Amino acid sequence: MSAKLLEIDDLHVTVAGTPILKGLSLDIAAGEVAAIMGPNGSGKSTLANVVAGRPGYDVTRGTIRYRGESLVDLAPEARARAGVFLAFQYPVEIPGVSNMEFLKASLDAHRTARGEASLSTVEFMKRVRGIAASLDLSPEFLKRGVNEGFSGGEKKRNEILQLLVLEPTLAILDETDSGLDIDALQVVAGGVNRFRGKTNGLLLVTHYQRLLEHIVPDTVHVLADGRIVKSGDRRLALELEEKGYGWITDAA
Amino acid sequence: MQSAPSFIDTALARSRELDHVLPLLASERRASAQVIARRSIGADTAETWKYLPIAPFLASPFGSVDAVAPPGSVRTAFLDFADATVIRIEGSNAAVPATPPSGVRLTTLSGGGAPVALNANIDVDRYPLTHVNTALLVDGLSISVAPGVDAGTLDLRFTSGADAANVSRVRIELADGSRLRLVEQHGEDRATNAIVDIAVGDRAALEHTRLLPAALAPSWLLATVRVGRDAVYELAGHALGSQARRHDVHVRLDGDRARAQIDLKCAAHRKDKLDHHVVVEHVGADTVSRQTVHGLATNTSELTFDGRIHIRPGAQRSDARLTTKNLLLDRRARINAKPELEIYANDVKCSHGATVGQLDPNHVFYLRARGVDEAGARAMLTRAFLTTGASDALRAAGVLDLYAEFLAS
Repeated sequence: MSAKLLEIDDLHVTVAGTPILKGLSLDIAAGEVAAIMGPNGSGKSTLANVVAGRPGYDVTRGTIRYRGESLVDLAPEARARAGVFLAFQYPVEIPGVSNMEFLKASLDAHRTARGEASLSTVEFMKRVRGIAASLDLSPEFLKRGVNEGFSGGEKKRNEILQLLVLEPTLAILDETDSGLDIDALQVVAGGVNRFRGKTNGLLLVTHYQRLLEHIVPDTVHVLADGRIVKSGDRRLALELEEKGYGWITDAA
Repeated sequence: MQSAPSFIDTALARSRELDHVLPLLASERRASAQVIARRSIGADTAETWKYLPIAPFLASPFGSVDAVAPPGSVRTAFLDFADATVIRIEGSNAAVPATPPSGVRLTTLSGGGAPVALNANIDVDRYPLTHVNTALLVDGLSISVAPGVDAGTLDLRFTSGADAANVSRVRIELADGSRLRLVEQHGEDRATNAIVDIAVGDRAALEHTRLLPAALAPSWLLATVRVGRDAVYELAGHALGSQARRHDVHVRLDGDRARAQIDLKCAAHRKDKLDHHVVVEHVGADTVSRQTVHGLATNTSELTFDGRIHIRPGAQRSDARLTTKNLLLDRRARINAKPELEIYANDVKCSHGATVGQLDPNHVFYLRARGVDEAGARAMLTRAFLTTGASDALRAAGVLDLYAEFLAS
């Protein structure tokens, strides 16, 4: 087995016939926190969605391997059960499906795939309530429809709640910091930092350096026009904060 | 003439027979029998019975003299509501419980519960099948709630009786300032003609839940409701499938500031034909009505929703809203949504809107990205669509299971 958790090689992706990713290569090792930064329209969200298997994102060339196996032909639910998690940039509101029902169905699907028995409702509730409290989410919200009427910050915290309940191996956070005030950002970062570990990988997709003050990355990659144009450590993020993206994207 | 002659003959014979058994309702029975004899029912229904024709409702086994039908598979899986008093109605026969809740009077129509005119509150021209009901009715049930009483929950459970068809009639009167939660569960497995005739007195409040699981034979259900001054009528209707079902609801907001809230959820699959026709008449001033209809059709089913808002002269400052949201899950399925407004007052607010669509792919993906398989995700979203806004009481009674069972069948 490869020590790499995620290996992306020469990835080309089109959305509705338009090429977005044009030869992207990227590795994430177990235990690594990688940040992908880049200007709007560079393909950051496309990368996040194509790894999660969103329909409409077509891989025309290249490979995505997770724990050595190709992900490209797997259904989104199979990827999720294998341990790939996407925290959505815009979590959808689903009236009529309660958060509780949704989380229980998700966790049951994950546990069944891992050969584990479903948690009893009591055990499940206990676990979810504990995690919700750590994210400043009141137990009341679990009864409400999925993200129904939630503020932007609550939606993002709900994504982190799901992350901590489902315990994936690879988490991709798509602009999880957008729309958060500083208090909410700290709560979210606290949750994400609890997820970090020797075996877990994390891919942070972000436009701003701000998140990286709270979740410190091991590696930073700059994405421009569908390709990684520069890689470095966290100092690269600071440099981007200071100088903007122009000096890199122009050079590329 | 759309109906078979055998229906006319048998219905008239049956009606005459009933005259001997139950003379109390005889004059009205005869009047309706005469209308049937004139063969005028069903003659002019091209528009009002456009998608689902009236013919099967004017055919055998309605009026069958051969009254004893083979035992059917009577649906027994009724939902249980907390603290409800259950009343069983088998065919025409209502079993009146020995101890009704205090403040509630339960009688059979023949036992003194019949008003002077059985059809006084029903527009028989609009609802011609009322004549079939009247001509063939053996007996009915009358429920009255005394002034100011909160009568709790009554759970009416309709099943088939000994007859080949079910013909039933229930009259409900809420006196001024009273409250009632009424649950109506239909489990008839035979041809059905059922009328519920409701009067909500001034300042009274009725919460009405109608659960209509799939009917295996032609089924016509009518609820007529008159709502008094400052009174509130709320209907939550859930209709699943059916080979041929016509569901009529007629609400008349008589008193000033009367209010009606109507939420209908309808799901059709296979070759189901499910027709809903709702009329809301604003008669009093400052009356308010809200109608929300969620419809879902799969396979080759056909779902019809005809919603009519009628603002009478004098119903000034009426406020009426009608929304229909539809999910079409198969290109062979069909949904007919037909909102109609008829306005005879000049200072009113009226709006209607209809949408037809598919499940939101972003919703499906969100669930799949959390490990729920596609079929499971679609089932969960479909059920959610049909149970949005369902009351806690309805959820506690297991309405989600009812839908899960239906969608899996």
